[in-house]
Amino acid sequence: MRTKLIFFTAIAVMGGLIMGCTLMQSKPASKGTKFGAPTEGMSTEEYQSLVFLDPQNTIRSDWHAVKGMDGNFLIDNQGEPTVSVVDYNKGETIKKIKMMDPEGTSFKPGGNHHIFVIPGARYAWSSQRYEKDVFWTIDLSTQEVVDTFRLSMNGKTVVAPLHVGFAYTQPLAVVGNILDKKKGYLTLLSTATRRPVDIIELSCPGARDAMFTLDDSKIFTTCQQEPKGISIVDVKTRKEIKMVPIKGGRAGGMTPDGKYFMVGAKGAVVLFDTATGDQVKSIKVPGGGGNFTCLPDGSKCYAGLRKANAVGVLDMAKLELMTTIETGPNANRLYLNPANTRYGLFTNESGKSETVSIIDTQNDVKVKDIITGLGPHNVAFNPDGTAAVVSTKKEDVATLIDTSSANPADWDVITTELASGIQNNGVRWVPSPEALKKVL
Amino acid sequence: MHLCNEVTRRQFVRTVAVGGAAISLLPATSWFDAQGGVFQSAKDPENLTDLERIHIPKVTLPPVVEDGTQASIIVAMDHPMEADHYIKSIQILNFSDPVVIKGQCFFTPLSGEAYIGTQIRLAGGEGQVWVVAECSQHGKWVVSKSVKVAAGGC
Repeated sequence: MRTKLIFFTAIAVMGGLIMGCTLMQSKPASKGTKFGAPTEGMSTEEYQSLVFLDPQNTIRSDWHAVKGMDGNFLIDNQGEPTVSVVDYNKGETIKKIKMMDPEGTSFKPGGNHHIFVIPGARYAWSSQRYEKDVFWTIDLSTQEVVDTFRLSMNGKTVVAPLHVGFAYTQPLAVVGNILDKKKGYLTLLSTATRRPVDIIELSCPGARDAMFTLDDSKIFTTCQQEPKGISIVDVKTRKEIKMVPIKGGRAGGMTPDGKYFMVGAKGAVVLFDTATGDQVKSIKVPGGGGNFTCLPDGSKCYAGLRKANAVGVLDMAKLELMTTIETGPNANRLYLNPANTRYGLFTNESGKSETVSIIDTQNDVKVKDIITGLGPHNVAFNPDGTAAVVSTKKEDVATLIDTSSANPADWDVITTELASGIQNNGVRWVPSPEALKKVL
Repeated sequence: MHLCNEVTRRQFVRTVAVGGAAISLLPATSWFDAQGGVFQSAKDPENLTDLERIHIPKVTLPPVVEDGTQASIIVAMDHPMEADHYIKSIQILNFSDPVVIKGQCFFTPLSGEAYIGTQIRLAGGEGQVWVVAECSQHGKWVVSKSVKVAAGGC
């Protein structure tokens, strides 16, 4: 009898475990898996349930939600002006989206600089590099421009709104004005209406990399024009809290835990505590000023050292420079393979360079260089990490790389002749219209 | 095979000896007029004739250049490269720059196609880049593109 009781109890426990596991598996993950456009008045939970796919200026990217999904690469051709749609399975550009300026304007054509995928992955913005304020909204379910609008408002003229940062808890985004040598502005955009909603004046000109803190209470931005430095803005009151001058300040980046805002400056990486807004450390580096990428666990961050033609490896526990890895001219930024973040492609974006370097982030060494077109600038991987597109600004073509091998020494060029346009600049992976329609 | 040279100071001085240093002060149209009116251009750039279509250089140059020391320019042509009818040379000029002639490439029928992809130095501000293609039968053809060199970048 006792044996039977133990047996049935064991069966019941096992059954319960199996049921529990099954229920847990069948329960949809609520965070970062939903597709669709943000709406006004969304709760924080609803907003955070949307898939976040944009890695730049935003820490959160939900690649697990799109693994195995059919997609395309979009390349912003700043000098043409078009956006190339690349089918990486075919290894070719299948479409070019025309990027026209609003009627009644007489701007130089183009300037469409970077694709930024709006949370929910239904829409994307194309940002602006030329001396104008035009943004484009692309509907990713049709891959057509559905809105062209200007950012200047309230008597404040915006010039070259370049890099977009997305908020984490509410339908809000922010962008600066990099080419303005006199004024500093941050424009807030609603990701629900996909239009600007407010503009905030800063005390340093040429806002470049603006990013929200993880609780969306503050925005940190670098200013690229003199006096260079950072500005910190209170999101609720929409007022600048303070500005800190930094010699040669240029690129900005947030650590994955949101604890530090990093600034690539002349000969240093300067770290600010995002809670207090205080400078906590200035780490001496050779060169400096390039962009940041951190490992997902936040243990190390990689800083492009433009003048030193190298990438600096920062120990984020000790806040020290561990080592530098020689890469190539105008060392700019590391892009990690989402399927295996041990390896990544590093762009050497000088007009005299035609190489990207494969970096092993476990041993912090360069595996090898891959020859691309001239002026490699931006990289995007597909979610499965099997393919990457490298934009090459000095060419009218871009490069497609096979990154499917577990051994990065085997990564190699598929083609350097992806039809794009002169000054092809920003690259993003997006779900294909067919794949998107299935999940909307 | 083609020969593509950056023009040296000595070559430049020899080339423009008639106009002397004043050449860089002249507007482009005056310079072309001074060459004896031998340059042809598209009468209606939106509706090219068959002759114009193969002779007018197709120039890819961004309207705004981030780095004037390394401005990418691509010149391509649809012209045949046959023994008795081919593009002999392509020349790139910028009259707002102290060094007007940015480079000249020479071709033969064995080149296969008349194509240049290179980088040139441009003076800051607004300017006009001119490209001249010379056909073995139909003389010199010219086209221009406006360009602005802006400071700063990404």
